[in-house]
Amino acid sequence: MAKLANIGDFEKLMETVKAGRESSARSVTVCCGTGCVASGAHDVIAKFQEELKTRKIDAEISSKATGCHGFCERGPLVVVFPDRIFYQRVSAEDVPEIVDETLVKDKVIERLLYSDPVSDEKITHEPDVQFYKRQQRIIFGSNGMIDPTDMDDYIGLDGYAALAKVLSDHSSDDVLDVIERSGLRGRGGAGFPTSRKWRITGAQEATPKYVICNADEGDPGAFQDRSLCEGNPHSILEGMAIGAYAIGASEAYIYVRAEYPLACKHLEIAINQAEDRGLLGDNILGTNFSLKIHIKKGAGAFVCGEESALIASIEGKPGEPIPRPPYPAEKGLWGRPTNINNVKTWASVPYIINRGADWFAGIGTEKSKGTMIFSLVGKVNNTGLVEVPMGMTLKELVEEIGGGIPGGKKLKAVQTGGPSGGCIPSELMTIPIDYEELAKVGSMMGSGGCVVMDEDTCMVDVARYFLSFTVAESCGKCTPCREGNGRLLDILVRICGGDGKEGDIELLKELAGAITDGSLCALGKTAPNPVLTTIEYFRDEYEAHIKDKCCPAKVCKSLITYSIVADNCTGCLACLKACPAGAVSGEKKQVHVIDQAKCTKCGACYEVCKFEAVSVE
Amino acid sequence: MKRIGVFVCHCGHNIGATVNVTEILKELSRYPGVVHCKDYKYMCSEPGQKLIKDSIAGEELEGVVVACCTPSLHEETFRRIADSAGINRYLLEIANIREQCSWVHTDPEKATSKAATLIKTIVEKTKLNDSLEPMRIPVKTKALVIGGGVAGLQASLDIANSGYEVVLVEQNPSIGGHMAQLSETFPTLDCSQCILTPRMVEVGQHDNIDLRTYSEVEEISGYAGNFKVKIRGKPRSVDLEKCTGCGDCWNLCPVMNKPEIRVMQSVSDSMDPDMRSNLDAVIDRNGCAREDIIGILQGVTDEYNWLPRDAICYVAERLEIPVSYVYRIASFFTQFSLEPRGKHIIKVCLGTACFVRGAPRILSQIQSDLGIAPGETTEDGLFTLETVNCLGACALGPLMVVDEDYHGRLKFTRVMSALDSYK
Amino acid sequence: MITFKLNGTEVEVEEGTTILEAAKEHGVEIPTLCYHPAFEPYQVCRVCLVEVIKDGQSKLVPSCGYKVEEGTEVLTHSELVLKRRRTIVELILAEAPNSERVLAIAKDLGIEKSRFESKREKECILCGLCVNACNDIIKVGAIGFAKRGTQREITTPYGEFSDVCSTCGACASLCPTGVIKVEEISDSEIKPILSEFDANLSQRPCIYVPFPQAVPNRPVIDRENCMYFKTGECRICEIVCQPEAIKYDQDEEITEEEVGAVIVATGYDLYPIERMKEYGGGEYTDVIDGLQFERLLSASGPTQGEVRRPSDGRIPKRVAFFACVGSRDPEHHCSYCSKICCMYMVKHALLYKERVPDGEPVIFSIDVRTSGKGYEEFYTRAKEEAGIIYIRGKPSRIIKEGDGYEVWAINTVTGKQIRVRCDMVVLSTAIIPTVGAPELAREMRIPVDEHGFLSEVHPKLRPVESLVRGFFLAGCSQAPKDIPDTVAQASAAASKVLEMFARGEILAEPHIVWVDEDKCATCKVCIDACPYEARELDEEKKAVVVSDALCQGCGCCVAACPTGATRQKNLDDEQLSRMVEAIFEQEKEHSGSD
Repeated sequence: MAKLANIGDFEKLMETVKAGRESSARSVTVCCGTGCVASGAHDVIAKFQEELKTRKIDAEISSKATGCHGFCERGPLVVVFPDRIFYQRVSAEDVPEIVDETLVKDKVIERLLYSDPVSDEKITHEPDVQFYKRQQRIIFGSNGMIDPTDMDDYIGLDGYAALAKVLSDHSSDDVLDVIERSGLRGRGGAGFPTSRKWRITGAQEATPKYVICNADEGDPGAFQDRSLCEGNPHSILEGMAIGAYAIGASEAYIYVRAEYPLACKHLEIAINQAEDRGLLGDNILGTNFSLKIHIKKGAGAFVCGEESALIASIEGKPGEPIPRPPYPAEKGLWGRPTNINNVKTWASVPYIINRGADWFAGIGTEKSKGTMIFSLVGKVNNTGLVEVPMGMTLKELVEEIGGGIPGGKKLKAVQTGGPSGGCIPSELMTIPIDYEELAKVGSMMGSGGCVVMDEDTCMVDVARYFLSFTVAESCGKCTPCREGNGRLLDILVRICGGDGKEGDIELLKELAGAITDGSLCALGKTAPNPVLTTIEYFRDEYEAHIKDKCCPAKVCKSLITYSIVADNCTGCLACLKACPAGAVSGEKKQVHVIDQAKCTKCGACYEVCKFEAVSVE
Repeated sequence: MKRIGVFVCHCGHNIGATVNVTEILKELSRYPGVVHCKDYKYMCSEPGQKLIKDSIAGEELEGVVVACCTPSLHEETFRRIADSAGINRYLLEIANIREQCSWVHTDPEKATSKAATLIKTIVEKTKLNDSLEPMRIPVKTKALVIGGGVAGLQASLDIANSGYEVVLVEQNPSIGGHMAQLSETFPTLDCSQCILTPRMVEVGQHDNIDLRTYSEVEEISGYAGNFKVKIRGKPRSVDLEKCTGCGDCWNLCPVMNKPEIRVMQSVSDSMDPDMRSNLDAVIDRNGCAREDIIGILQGVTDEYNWLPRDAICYVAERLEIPVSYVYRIASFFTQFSLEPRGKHIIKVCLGTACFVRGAPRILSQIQSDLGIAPGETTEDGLFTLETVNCLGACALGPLMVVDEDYHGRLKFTRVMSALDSYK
Repeated sequence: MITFKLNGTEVEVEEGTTILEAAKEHGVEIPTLCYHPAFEPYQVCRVCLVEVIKDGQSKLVPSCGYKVEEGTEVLTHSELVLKRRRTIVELILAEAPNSERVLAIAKDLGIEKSRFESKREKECILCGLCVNACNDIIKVGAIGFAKRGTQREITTPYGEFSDVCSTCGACASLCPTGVIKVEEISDSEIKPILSEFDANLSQRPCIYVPFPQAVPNRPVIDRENCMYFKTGECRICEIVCQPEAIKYDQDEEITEEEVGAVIVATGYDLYPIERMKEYGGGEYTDVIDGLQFERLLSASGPTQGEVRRPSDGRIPKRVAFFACVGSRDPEHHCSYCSKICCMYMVKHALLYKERVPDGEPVIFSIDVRTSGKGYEEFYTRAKEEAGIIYIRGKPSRIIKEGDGYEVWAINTVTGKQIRVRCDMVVLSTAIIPTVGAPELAREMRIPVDEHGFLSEVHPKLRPVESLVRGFFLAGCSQAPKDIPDTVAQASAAASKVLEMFARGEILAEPHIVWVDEDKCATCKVCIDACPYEARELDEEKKAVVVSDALCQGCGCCVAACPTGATRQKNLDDEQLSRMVEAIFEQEKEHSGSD
């Protein structure tokens, strides 16, 4: 691949690439995001290639593996272009049929289509799927169109045009102005205005300066950073290059979880390609601007998502946060001014440059601009990654995009912001997605996790769950986080175990106060949020556990008993076989009995029973 | 020839019992130049002294020999008589017939003869003695006191209070000596510190005392009245002028034992050479600076599935950092294991999405079936069970990953059969 | 300068000052645990949290690391601060319920007991002082943190003995809970730096003043043990010294003084207890010498005046005192009587009895010498009123028996062999000249006796003058003596000096040598022969001249001079030959008459 010597060369290349791709020729894409791969997407794409080759039509009909489409729930996903015929849950065995019927004969295969869970209607085209319909896929949109290992795919979609534009006629101040006018705020959680952060770093006298991409996505229930790194790595690189140009940095790091091997691989490939093309490295596109991007793999510590811990980790130190001030913008990596942004923030930048600040600012609410990518997970029909404009209500998100709650259960709460966020009760579902609005109800935007909980969820148990997460992930450096959160967890475990005491709620609140006010870093400071919000909105559940010794959601093992409903039991032996503790006894076709002394309350019997003959009380 | 007088002292029995003084007188009175010869029981007593004085005047003696005890005891006494009698004091000499004769001999006859000889030799010397004048040496009126114990303090104060300067040299960092260590003093049982401390303070503040603690006398030359002293001030490492004695330094100095500096033991020779070359390759790939440590440990984990002890030590050695530092990093991040791990690694996702979809139940089933808790390895070394706080594949929850294989949407019933394929 | 409001009062501090420092400067105390003035603020214990109000917004920040900002308001003891501080201290107290430091802070906040139960095995509050000292200050890295979260701990790699630990003990000395122990970190022999002043019964740091009342009250660095002088690291004292008085590169300084007289008061040492093998000296920890017992009795001593055994801190119920250890033992040790032991043993026994009323002092002695004013009465009172047991006889050995010791002796009154069990033994070891003092005396050319004590001119008539003129003796440098005698002799020596100064000159004997300059061949043999450095070559005169003041008239040079140029006044060659002739004539006369 020849190095591009100047901006003119780049423009020529872009024209060539676009021309080559503008044919209306038929093509097929297979989503190869982690979710789909886990469901067998690699076999599917391999089969496509094999089938097309066997039929000797691989020249006319191209096939490619793309990044994540977001609708992981229904993977592996196959989209046939140009009509965007959308097949879901495709297996390798389905491939010959798709080739023969759809690719060759242009016929739609009914059984592979997605049927809307609400209307039961079969949907043929991808954009018509309810899941996608209500989304505004800007940053995430290209994921499904490009092969992340092929740079030209990205260039074909105006990739690196923003960088070229900036390098040809923008001063660093110009870039800062655009970003400021766009109203872009950090997508990593706190929502600090991006332009302000860049300006502070840029204004420092010390050199060299660094930019860092925080791809240490550790929030349980969030995987949008992973999807972007895997599916569209060049957009991140381009954003970083523009940011580095504006700030005056010539070295950059991407800190990515080692648990995301595919993301690491795709980023590495992308960096190499961009360097080969002269879009990264020394004298980018013949200008004076140079940028070297390094990849640093995290080794498994949630706390390394915290800026100072992340920096420490890059420096080869344990991932422990250091007190701020000084902020990384003043003294960051190697003690130099450093700007850290989240993957999604960086990836937003090229779009803003290309389409203009006003376009971006036109999306969203007054203070929260643009779109936000959520991982919509939990007890919701359509799980997956969604990109929606700021300002959409949670209700819309859950019901219209998510397709509501499975099994006709009732929505209880939505937890946003990862383990540091709060649980928002169903009655507050009408609030719009906005940094300030979420904060007002005790939660936060965070990295974009959005966990839906139904009536079967015990909120005390959820609080306990989140605390057990933060306690396990706390670095243990400062007292309030280490000891305080540990004690919080102890108390929650006790309450869930039926040993709650009068005054526990007050003690939880007191501890939470000390942790929030006293902890060294944001991990500690925000860790009590799930506890505080669940106490705030579901205090009755706490009281039921403490005073009545019962778990209303029938989750907490110590407070429930499993028993056989004699009327429903058919004596099928299913529960008896499933019980790991040997607590179920009975003969075939006779009503079974659960020995309460042996029962470990694992719920296996309840899960396997097809006759609703196991009850939980 | 000089007119010599000889005066023989009996010194009680000290001389008289052994030496025949009468015989001596007889013999000496015949000796050339001796014009006057007398004896007396105690020549140093007042009548004895008077006898000599009168004789010098009366007999016009020009030289005097006193035969008696050692000159170190009474030379000055008798020379003062010469002064007062008007002859030069150095014309008087002593013949020591006590220490050099009577005290060391038992035979009276021989002792008497020896005494006579001794006296005669001194008579001969005295005959040729010149009149001399004592030398007058001016005195430097400044004293050196060596030692700052109670004796040195007392002496210094006495001299200083009389208006003379004192240089007080103490080898220890403080004055006070052993007395400062005592609790009470006998027989009055008063507190040692209470009586000593005011003295110490007085010395420390005295205008006439130049206190040199932590110093030693290196050399003294010269002579009485005019000594030259070299004092070696040992380096305190503290500037006495600037120091305020606030105590911050000694209260905060943490070193309480004699440090013995030890160097890290090398493992490179004792370890498996294959492992060493593997590790070298990993380190060369990642770099050899402290900042590369995480990458190196990841490389080692890729190689061995865990971090063997030798590997940790060797990495420390190559990176020239303490083993404790590598150990700290290795035990901090969940990706690293300090225990050998099984052939297959089962990671059960406990992310929120998986959690609300029943991941804990899946975990407890695996636990009870394999008989291991998270972080443990089965006895046959086949499986290691680990939990992970989100694998970012939430749509597949509940989810477990065995090695690189994702097993999503796990059902209670499917867990164990999924694992069976790895056995 | 920065102006801010501290608890409602406007104050000024220098830019860059932390809130903690600023508060201290203005007399406001904020509790701390993980803070150490020489370390980068670690800011983890969070005990020092204070409230900062900036632009109308309030937040809690750790005062140890947070720098004062212009125009802000700082509340160190607001209701919120105290509430949060209490919770945090309670959390810490739960893990360190016995730490005096933590207990004191808790008490100030009105906390009696933590509501939380302890969870960790060790009373470690993970303040990090030990780890940060070992890694960032001492730069050894023997210990470190390991694991994370509630599992976080401080350990050596693999929890095994460290092979790099220098056993310096910085970790242990900084630990606020006392949980860090060097012997758990290293299996090397730990050699505590012992306080000379406390007769090795307590430890002292490397920069120290020997005792609180020291004059001058200024510290000294023990270069033998100071980390900086071993590795160039640490520098804590330099960092914390506000007046910048620490000078590691200070050299020794030689100064010259001209003085007229010298008083030698070099004092004494005790005969080394290690030489008393039969008593287990140096081997048995509870067999100590008299000075050590003094420190045990002293209110400012290592036990604050309580008599406790060095080995285990237990109060000894029976203490044996041995007299004449090394004294009056011409065969093995010192022949002389050390003079003060009989009396200080009476004192020791009395004071021990006073501190430990049910204790039993037993004194073994050959006899008791009470020659001093009031001494006999003191002894009698001790024997009769305090019931101190005296046993006649010198013990032959001490055997360690279980927890205590057994003294083997013969009671010379009854002639019976006895064995006495006791918990501790105090040996009244002999007084010897201070180590190095005899060498110093030799250097100064003043004579010492066979024991190394300085010789006086005459034991009765000139007891404070040295045989060399201009040197005077005071205290135990001359012979063992008690305090009254010491002080008396010191004053006597001073008065001798004063006599000399008052006169302004001294008279010197004139019968020194002189040189017949015509005969001198300048061969310089005399220069080497002179022990007083009184001869030197005068280039102008072309002769080796005599310094009248230095010449002592010893005659060495006269004998050495090959040309007969050097001659002695009143001891000329003529005189000498006449004296010799006189001897021969006498011989002749006597043999002739026989």
